[in-house]
Amino acid sequence: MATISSVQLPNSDELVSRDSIRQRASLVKQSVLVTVGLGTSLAILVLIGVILVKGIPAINWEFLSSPPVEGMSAGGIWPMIRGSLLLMLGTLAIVLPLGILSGIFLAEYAGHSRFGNVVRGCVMALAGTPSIIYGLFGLAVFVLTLKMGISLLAGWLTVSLFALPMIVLTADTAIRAVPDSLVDASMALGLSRWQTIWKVVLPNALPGIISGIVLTTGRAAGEAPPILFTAGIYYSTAKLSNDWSALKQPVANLPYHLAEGYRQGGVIPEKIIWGTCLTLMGMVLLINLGAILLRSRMRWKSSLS
Amino acid sequence: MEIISQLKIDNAVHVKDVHLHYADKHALKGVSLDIPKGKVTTLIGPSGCGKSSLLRCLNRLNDRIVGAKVEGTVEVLGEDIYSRKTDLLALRRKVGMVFQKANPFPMSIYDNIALGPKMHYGVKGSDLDQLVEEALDHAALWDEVKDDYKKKSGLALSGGQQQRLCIARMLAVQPEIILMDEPCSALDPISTAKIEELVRKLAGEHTLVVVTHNLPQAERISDYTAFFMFGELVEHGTSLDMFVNPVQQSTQDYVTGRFG
Repeated sequence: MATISSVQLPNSDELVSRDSIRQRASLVKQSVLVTVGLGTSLAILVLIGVILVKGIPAINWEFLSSPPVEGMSAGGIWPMIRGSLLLMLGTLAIVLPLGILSGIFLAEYAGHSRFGNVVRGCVMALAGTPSIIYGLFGLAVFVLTLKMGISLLAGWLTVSLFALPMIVLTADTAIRAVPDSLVDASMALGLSRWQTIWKVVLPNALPGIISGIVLTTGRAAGEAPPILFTAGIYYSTAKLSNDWSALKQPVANLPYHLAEGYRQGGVIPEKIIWGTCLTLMGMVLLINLGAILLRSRMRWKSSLS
Repeated sequence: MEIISQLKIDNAVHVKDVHLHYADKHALKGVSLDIPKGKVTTLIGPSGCGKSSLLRCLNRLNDRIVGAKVEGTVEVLGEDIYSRKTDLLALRRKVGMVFQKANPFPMSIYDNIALGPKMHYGVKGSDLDQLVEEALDHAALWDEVKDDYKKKSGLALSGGQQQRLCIARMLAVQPEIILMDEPCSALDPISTAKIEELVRKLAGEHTLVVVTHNLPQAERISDYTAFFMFGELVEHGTSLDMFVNPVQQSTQDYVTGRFG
């Protein structure tokens, strides 16, 4: 060992024992991490496994494409799938522009001023608010006060409200993650603030924002509480209209079907409940997959030729 | 190097008693400096001496930094740019900038260059195509990208090419003054040589202000040199004088590599 100091350091025997202690400690740390990781994965795998095993026997084309019959005790779940898709698409149409614009406002205009931080804090609090609160708010405001009734429209607005805070935070983060050097470049070229946002910042942040919006909307549409009192219906013989008047109608949907179907015990056979469960999970997973593919495609397009 | 013999020199930039405060730092302490038109002026000095800060005063890019405050007079092409009436976008149309780290936009080479002239001049169609091509040609990048510049992303280029793309992008707006903030510090010697050549080529038509840590480079490319230390301008003169025959001892020490 080269010596540059008179401080007494461990001799080579002591170093060997120090090294072996360090090696053993690192082995212990590693095994703890691996155990925890495997344990968590196992829990998730069991969860998915149970739903798969119990749900798959129920799934067939008939189940996915036909309505329930015989007082819900048989038949398929097509109206619920359609209802969930409708809720999701409508919500998407509302939150896409609102989320992007609010994100721009928060990141670019409010920034880290005191006002911006207060707004950001409020949005975070809203993002952490339990979904049932949004459900009750939707019931009080959209359904009763604004007299929309339990309807698709009230559902869209409620789910949008529930999803928006999370989306705004995602958009804010994505926009603020755009490298400052690009904003410098744009400013130095003499582009205006709006041009900079529109031409430089947004295209950069868009992959993150869009995938965030799709992910959040997918998740939000799988939540039962927001649509519990605002859009959901359990048993209806009325057909959903094919025109805009459908906005005023309640819609059957997957999470509500699960919640209510289970609560009313015994009416819906267990097999159908598990099948619905698997369908809902599959739908959300498909949407997530779509969001991830969309993002990587957009990233790829913007980064290489 | 030509002998500079005019008695009255036409100045592109006139800086008088400028103080720059950041939130927690007094970055420029009463700097006065005239930058002659059509010449290359390099700003040199140890890190943190205020040369980049001064550069960013000239196109008011310092405005972006929260807490930055400028006092004193900065005149660019005869106009007080810190006056209330200053149109920032028009100022930056006249004063282009190239940064230390190449920062092309994540879009095609063509779009990178087209953005500025489209916004400032409303150039479209074949005129725009021609302008983009000429900007690339001026920045000595045309031959390397002519086959796929409409499709290829600016980010797919090498570091040196990216920096020349940034120069082309800046040239396409046709500024009269060009600011460069250590434009070669991240580049290999060959790319550096290309950019130095470019700087010489642009002089005359343009006024260039270049910040650099590379003293031989400053000597090679510039007509005038200004030496900064601790936020103050120590000495300013023709590069010949500054490198061969400086007045101040600290300039002498710095240019001969005794510190810094």
